[in-house]
Amino acid sequence: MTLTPHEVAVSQLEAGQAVTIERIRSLRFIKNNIIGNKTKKDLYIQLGIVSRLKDIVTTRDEKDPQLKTQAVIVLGSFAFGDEANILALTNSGVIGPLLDCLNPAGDPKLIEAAARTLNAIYASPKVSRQELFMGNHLNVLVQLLDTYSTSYRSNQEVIMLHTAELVASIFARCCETTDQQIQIAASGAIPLLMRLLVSGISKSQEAALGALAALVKDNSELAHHIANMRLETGERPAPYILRLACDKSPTMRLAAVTCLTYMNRAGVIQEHNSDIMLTVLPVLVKMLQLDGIVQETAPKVLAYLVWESESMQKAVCDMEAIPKLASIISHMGEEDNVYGIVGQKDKLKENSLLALAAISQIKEYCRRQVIEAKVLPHIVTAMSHPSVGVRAAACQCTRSLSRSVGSLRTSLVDAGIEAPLFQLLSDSDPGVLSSATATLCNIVLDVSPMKKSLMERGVVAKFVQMIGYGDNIVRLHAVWAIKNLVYEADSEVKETVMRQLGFHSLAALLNDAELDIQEQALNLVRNLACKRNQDIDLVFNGLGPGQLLSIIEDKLTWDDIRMLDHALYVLVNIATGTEYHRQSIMKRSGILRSVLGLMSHEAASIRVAAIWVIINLTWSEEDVAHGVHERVAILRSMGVEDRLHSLVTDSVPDVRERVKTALQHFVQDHQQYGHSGSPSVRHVGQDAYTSNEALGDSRMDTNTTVSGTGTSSHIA
Amino acid sequence: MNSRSASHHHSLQSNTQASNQVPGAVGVQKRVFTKEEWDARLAEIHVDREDLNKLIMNYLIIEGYKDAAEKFSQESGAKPPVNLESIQDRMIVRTAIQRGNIEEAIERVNDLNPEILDTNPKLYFHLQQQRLIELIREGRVMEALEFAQEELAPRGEENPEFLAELEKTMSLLAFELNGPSPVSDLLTPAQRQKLASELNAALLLSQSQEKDPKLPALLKMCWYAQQQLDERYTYPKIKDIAKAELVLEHPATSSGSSSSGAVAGV
Repeated sequence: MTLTPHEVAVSQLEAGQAVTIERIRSLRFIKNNIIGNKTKKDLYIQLGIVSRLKDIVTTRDEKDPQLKTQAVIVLGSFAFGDEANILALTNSGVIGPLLDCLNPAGDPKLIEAAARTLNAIYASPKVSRQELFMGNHLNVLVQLLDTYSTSYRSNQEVIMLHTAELVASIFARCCETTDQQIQIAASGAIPLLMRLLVSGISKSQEAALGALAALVKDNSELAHHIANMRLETGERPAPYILRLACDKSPTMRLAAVTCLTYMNRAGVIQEHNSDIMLTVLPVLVKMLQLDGIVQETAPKVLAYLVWESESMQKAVCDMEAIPKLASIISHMGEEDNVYGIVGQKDKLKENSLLALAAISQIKEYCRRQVIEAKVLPHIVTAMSHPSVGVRAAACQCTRSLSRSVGSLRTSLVDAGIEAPLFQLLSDSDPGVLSSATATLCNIVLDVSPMKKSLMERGVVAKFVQMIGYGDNIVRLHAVWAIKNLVYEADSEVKETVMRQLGFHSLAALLNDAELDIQEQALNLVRNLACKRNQDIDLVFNGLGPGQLLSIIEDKLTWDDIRMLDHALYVLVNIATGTEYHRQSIMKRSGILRSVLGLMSHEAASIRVAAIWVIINLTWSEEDVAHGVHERVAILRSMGVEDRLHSLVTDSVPDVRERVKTALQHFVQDHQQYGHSGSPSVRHVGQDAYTSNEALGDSRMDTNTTVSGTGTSSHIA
Repeated sequence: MNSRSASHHHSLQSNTQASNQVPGAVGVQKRVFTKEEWDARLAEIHVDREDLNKLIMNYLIIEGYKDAAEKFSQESGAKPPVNLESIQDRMIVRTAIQRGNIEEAIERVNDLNPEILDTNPKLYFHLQQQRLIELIREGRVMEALEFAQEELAPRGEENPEFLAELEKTMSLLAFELNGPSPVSDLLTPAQRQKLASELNAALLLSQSQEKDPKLPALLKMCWYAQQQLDERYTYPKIKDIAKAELVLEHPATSSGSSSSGAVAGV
């Protein structure tokens, strides 16, 4: 059997099979075959080349540094492009030997090659960064960063400079955790990166920007430290980087605006807020019309920059970013299909969708632009995209859009969002699941035909299934969605939902390890127990009066406003029920004492809620006037009336209003003693108004930073 | 060296056809600058000699004229901003492409920086495409077919945008080599030249150098400025970039569109 030239080349790599010069020749042959050529890379990996290369790199025999260098370059070429190849390398344990090649006393070409290969390996997020932080490696890397000289001439210096760029790039890729950021900073890399930043050599500057960006990302402490350093010129970094944001080279601009974006999000360059708005945003928006990696990355940076900033979202909207993003997303499908091959430009699509999601996160004005850009059908199509990233991003978009007022939300329904959205509830990716449930949270708020049809599809069962799912965000969103589903729903819907969820699970959720989930569960109880006696009975009998009230009693002792708020309104709602319901509360002296205490809570909203409990417990209805009198007497003896008197001069008008009403009940009781007749003032109109306010809330903050939504508080 | 024409050097030829009235001109009359007026205005603008030298050095280095750059450096005292050896490397690559020796060019590039062709699939494809063209040019049809199948088809699979170019290249096989064909441009020296420039640009970029010399852009800007001026004034202008003479046109002939003359060599 004759061997192919490739097999011959691999066999010659083994020590003792050929003289060094032959081995180098084989390595060069292999190198020139595999660079740029994925097919050949796969072929050689199958021929078992990696372990032979590792042997060469590991050997201490340094007769000719060329041999090692070429082997390292070949390893590097395998690492370019393909994640599977990178894992083939790391599984063979090449990282350690490569790090050992970095010894500054060694051959500069070998060091450069090793740095390049490591940089390519660390391009994969799946590779462990651990080894780099072990032993002396980090210090060695920092030494390699320290080679910059202003007028480089010799080849040697060019190589060292390039090595420094690669090291900066390695650092940029090894800042995945706060701990890694801190270790790299502590190694003394930052001043050297600053020097590289002002070197005037574009590749070095880009590499330095990349590393600095990675160091400040989500790390306000380091960001603060870096923002307050001085460059060699005495200037602070931000104004210098702002100038680079206007550089001729698009990749330099991208590196600069990325770094500024992270600094801005870390809140350390507030004096440059207007520069961010007037320089960085327009630069990013213009990049949407470039191509390649710049166009691909810009939307992601844009998304990060405007996230949760209403003013930025408005500004970027006014720069016509939405039509540009929409046109990227809308036109991509056509190109893909020329040769029927999908998979190209997935990242661009994903990032563009993320940007749309971020821009339309808060302002209705921006959401309307998204709808007007006619991109909605493409977003809906993207929800079924084979790439999980694209699906998740598309879902983020629908999530943002679903926060809008009913009329825009209708256009989501009209665009056919229901089927793909329901499909995504079975997605394997937790990110997709969490966005999909968040979108559903908002959509089920409406009394829409979709709510009914989703329920018929079995959406409740899905939610219940997710609550059992491991990911806490998904569990949270699922409880949230159920809560919104029963918001202002009729009794039949509530019963259907609870039949599937089960009160046993509800009780467990009310004591979940995740506080956010507990809160949503308590909010669910609040929504369930709202409006009709039948609804109150559902919860009362479902959980059992003892268990229900014990849970409430417990929550009332928490130092958590959201929890207190829900617990109090559960009581408010129960107290609108029957005499039996009210008496059940009255039997719990612990609850009554807590309510009394909360009447003086520092938060006005809690004071109001506590007083509402009193109002509803002292509500007079003709047929059971006797019960009211008894309750008033008990509350008075506890000091409730005195407390109310002390609140007459409360600074908050809403509190004073409630106090007035509650005191009226106590006064009426006085008058009623011997008289008969019902109270002359009814508060139904007022209460209905309060209930509507709660609806407004729920529309606004269905986002990841959880606060109370779907608050359905029916009073009296 | 015609690149010097970019500076505001004055033309030797003087134009005496100064006339202030334009009989028969329709609409707004353009103001006319005489040669003397124009020269006086140009003289007010100071152009630093050193800047001009830098401009020329920039051109020589980026375009890869190593010997000229060395000579120019000695004569003018302008320091080359980069290692002149790096020019040599790029020139070896360029000449290899121009000779049609693509393998040699690839090996050189991989020696200089093995990252370039691994991170630039389009450039890599164009190099392989050129290898295919060279095989076809030499009439090695079987080898060409085999090469296309083994080396180019997989690249097309990875990047569908390459498929159209691959199809076009393959259709070379359907035509007589020296006869007329819709794809004959692939066999011209210009095709090699295009590839050589693409590769040169990639090498420059990897060395933190700009890929385009400043001079041609400056000439374009100069041409654009003249076009803008033409709408309002009659003045001594450069008509032939290669000569860089300031010529005052007879106003009568310059009425209407004055977009005659192409930007030669830019």
